[in-house]
Amino acid sequence: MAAVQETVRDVEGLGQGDKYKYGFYTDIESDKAPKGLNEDIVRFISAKKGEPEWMLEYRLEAFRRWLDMEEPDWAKVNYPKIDYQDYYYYSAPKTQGDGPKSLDEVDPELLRTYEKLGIPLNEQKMLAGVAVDAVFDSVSVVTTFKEKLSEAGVIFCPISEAVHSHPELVKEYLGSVVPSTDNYFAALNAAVFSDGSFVYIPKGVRCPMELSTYFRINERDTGQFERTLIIADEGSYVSYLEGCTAPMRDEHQLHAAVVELITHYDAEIKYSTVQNWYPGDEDGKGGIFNFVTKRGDCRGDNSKISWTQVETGSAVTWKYPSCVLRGDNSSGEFYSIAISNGAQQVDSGTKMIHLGKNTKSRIISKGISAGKSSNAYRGMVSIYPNAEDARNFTQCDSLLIGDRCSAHTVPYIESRNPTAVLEHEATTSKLSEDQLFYCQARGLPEEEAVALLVNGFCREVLQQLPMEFAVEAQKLVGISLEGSVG
Amino acid sequence: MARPAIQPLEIETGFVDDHAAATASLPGAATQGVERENAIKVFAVDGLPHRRLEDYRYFDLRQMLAKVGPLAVTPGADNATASDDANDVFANIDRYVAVVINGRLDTSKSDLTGLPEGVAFTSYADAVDADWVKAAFNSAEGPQDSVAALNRAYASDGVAVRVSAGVKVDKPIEVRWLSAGDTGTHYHARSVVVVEEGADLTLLETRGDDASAPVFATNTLRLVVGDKATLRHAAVYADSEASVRVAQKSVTLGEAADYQTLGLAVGAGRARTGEHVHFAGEDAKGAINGLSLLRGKAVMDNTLFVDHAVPNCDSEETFRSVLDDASRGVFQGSILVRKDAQKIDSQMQARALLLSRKAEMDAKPMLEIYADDVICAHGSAIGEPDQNAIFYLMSRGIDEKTARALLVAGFLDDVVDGFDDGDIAAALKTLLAARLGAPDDMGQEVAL
Repeated sequence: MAAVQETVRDVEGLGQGDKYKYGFYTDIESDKAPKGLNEDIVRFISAKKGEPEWMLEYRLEAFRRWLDMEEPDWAKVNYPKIDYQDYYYYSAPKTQGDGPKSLDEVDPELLRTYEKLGIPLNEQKMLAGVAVDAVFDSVSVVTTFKEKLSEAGVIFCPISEAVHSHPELVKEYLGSVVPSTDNYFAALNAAVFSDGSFVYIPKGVRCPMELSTYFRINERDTGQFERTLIIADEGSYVSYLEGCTAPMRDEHQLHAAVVELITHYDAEIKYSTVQNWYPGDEDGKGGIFNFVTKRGDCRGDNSKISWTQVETGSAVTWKYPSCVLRGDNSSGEFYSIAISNGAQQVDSGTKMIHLGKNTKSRIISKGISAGKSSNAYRGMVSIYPNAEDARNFTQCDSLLIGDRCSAHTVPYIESRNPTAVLEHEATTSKLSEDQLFYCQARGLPEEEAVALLVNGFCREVLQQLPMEFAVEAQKLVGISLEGSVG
Repeated sequence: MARPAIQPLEIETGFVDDHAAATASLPGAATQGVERENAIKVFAVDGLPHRRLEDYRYFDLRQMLAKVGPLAVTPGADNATASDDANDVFANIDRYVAVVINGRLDTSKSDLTGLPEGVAFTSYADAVDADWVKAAFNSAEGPQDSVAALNRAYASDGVAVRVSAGVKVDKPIEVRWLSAGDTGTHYHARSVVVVEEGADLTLLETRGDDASAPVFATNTLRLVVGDKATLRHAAVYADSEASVRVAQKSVTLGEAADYQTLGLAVGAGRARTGEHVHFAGEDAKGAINGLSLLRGKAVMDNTLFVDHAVPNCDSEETFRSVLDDASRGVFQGSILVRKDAQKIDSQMQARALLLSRKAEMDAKPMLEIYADDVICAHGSAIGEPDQNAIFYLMSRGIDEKTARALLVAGFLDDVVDGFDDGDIAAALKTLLAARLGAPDDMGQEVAL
């Protein structure tokens, strides 16, 4: 119950858009590329990062592809047409000299920002088990716990650094799961990606700590194009945490990230996300456009990829973390909570592509819509002819709070192997009045009762989150639904 | 991505080029001329639907007809035949029969004597200008795609039935869709059935051809079920592998209307039934069911759109497919609950048994909900017959083939049993049993 109490306190302190907790703006002089997008900008970004020729070529090819592509319009979301020439595609916080050598060298303004965000960077080294690769407007500023990781042979660094330090790995894996031709936003990302994390877990290594990144969008009108690449070599394991907050802005902000995961024989990656970017105000003004391509490739036999996401923020979300189950006996999981309130629009789900024998997938999706928001689950389970004895279980539940919101379910189920067993269940209903009444009869205020019931509704997914995320997520569930009843 | 312009197929240009000449010989040339011309213009732009259109994702009509040469509009013929299944299924039921050959009502082969007073039965071509027919079509909802345009452009004939308020039709009316022609034919039928307030009708459809020549047919069926009226509808599709068919049903349900439909596909053709059910009055009930028992390279696509526009209605959608050989089952179902359509209870289920390595099932059960006080659910399961159940039956002395047939029969009969007319349900079960070789004819070869 403590978490709920805390939720209520948070709710009192927060509320709708104008009180958004993380809606402050840090005034740090930015090193920006001119507005707009053309080949010169792509070259500028590449040059700014001192990238090798092959990387520039990769970007330019993606850019040329992108020019020929059309923005997808099949998702159940509406937003004004994006003027891609009206964004900045590169901005980096200025640092003293070539870069900080220690925490002391980090811009104090930046540190204060993190403090407000609740990332205790100063205490990071003392905090157990979490290494933070803090991404502030596209450039990684501080990476901690590197020593301990390198002892284990784990490579955890900004991808811009990996391009130089481990070009052979980047060359081999970058774009091998999400090719730049995959979709409009993936192509855009491949052309202009700013930075992101690179993780390589060597054979047989169990990563000694949970890896975590905080993304933060800060500069006005800055497109963020994160690129994350995680490779788990044979028999390895890693749990990766991604959490996001962004300051309040009136202009729509674009975020088109690409995340690629690769597991080899017997390896496992657990990828957890809590996303609470600024959702815009009640009328849908402002807020982040979150167009993300996340895909994992279970390349080796017996490998496993598990996605867990708690999506509470962003004005528009377009996101389908997927698994390609290539190796025999490989398994994919997708646990999702998507909460939409106000004028938010969510179109999210997953794809499970069963190629190998005995592949298993499990999809648990909980959508909660409140206010006048729209919340859609869109998913695909596809069994290919060779996927002998494949197994899928899908459950999508939607909860409606209020009569102005909407919930949609769009599953695609395709089976081409008779030995495969697929099950899909979906329900849509409203918050039970009986349960609400009962809680209130026991003295809980309505808002607290709603938070409690919704947390119960999401329990199966919350359980999948690592401890520190679960607490934050539970709070977020309550905060996100503030003002949705009564 | 900038898409290259699609090169029109021979059959598509044929539809457009032959239009003027072909429609001259169709019934109602004088009255339907303008509409037909406008419609073919729409078709000329859009062409046949293909898999890049979301609605036809699993039924690529363009590809299916790509290798079919130009087809001709052929008039009705005396030698029109149907497959045995289509001939026999309702043979033992006392009923009225309307025979439609190549999309034209053939009154000489129909038997409609004794229709009760208050039932108006004519050919669609004769009734096309009647106000009630116009009103029925003007209020129709449903996809205005290029198949609808083609159907409009070549609209030939069909049936027009009006059951006046309060009339209970004593026997079912069966509409038999036959085709004839040695070199291949295409036809595009349109029918309308209006069941007025408090009236009661059972409508049967049988469709089948004997594979003598390719058939491409579109069939538009407009059903209006008035306030407190009842319509039971059962259709048997026993198409041959030479046929490609698209049926589009648009249904409107009035207040407290009771609508029940069961489509049973047992053929080897490639067929699609697109059904749009619009709940326009409160307290209405709809049971929309589809069964497929397919073999060869058959494809059956059930695309369903249920529009709950008003509160307090119940709908139940149950679709089951049994797929053998290289057949393919498709289910695309969508339940829309509009804003303020509270207290809706809607349950949608799509299940499939795959009996062969080459069979395929594609299911897309969708929910689109804008009202909060509703109970909507969908479920989907795809797999093969339960090995444990087969083992159990075999341990009781039943051979494997019969055991499998029993399980399959049980899977399908379950839905047939729910049909609100015992005689018709029994007729459908007999057809299924004959197909499966169980349970009546134990020991017989399993036909699957």
